Amino acid sequence: MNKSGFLSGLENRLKGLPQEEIKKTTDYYSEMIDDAVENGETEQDVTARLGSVDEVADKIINEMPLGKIVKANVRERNISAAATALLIVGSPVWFPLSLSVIVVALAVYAAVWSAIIACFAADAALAISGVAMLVASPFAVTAAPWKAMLLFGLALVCIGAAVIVFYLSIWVAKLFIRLTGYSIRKLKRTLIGGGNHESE
Amino acid sequence: MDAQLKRGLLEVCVLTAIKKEDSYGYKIIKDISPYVEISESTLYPILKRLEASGCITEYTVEHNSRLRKYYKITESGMNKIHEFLEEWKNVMKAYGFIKEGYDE
Repeated sequence: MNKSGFLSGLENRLKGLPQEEIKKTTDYYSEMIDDAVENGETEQDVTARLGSVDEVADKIINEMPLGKIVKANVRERNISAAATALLIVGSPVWFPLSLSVIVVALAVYAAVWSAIIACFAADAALAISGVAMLVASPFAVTAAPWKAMLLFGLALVCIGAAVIVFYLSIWVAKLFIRLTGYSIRKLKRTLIGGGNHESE
Repeated sequence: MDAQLKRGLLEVCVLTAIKKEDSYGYKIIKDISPYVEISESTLYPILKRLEASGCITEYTVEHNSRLRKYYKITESGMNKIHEFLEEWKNVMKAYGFIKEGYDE
């Protein structure tokens, strides 16, 4: 791919980002390619080294805060007069609807985190009671040896369960963090993709 | 290498590369790459972050009838290098301990 092909491809993939951001990015890569060519590389060599346009664009999109992308899309999207009228007339319907969708999504998200926190709390309770029983078991010998044995056994069960629950909770929390990152990236790409479609 | 650690390292490397004299993207990569792996597409977000945090400023210079962006280190950029060196004194101490313990 030559320089202009790379740059126009990049520009196209970044539509939906703020205008100044696109310019800054293409200026940067344009300068990089020019400098490399001045140092004896061919345009084809450099663009091959830079990686595919999609890879380069994805990296930039992932680095960009979500808020900035949303703002740029709201500001720069061309909405026709008819669509604007519809938006305003329909606002009593779509506004509460979209608000409730957002609220429900946030509530579900918070609920999952609460469940994860609850797991850790239950785990702490297991661990504490296990240790407490372990400490108490020698004292129970004076009451009856079988009571001491029972307490000791229960203590081991609790501590064992606590260890398992602990690793399980961490695993779930990590999974959910990854899922969050993935959804944000997906959302960004959807927004950018939306911008792309409108302008074509 | 841990991604967070590498990012921090690269930031300080970039600052060091422009500390001696103002520099531009292509030259920064050329100066750093013998020591750390860095590519054009990794440098871009680093420059952006450094500029946003006020560690560098940029200006354009005409070169061969096109524009080239030069980066200049600021006071807080110098502080960042200094902080890094201070912090890594401790890291190197720990490294010495680990290495010695391992080699025994």
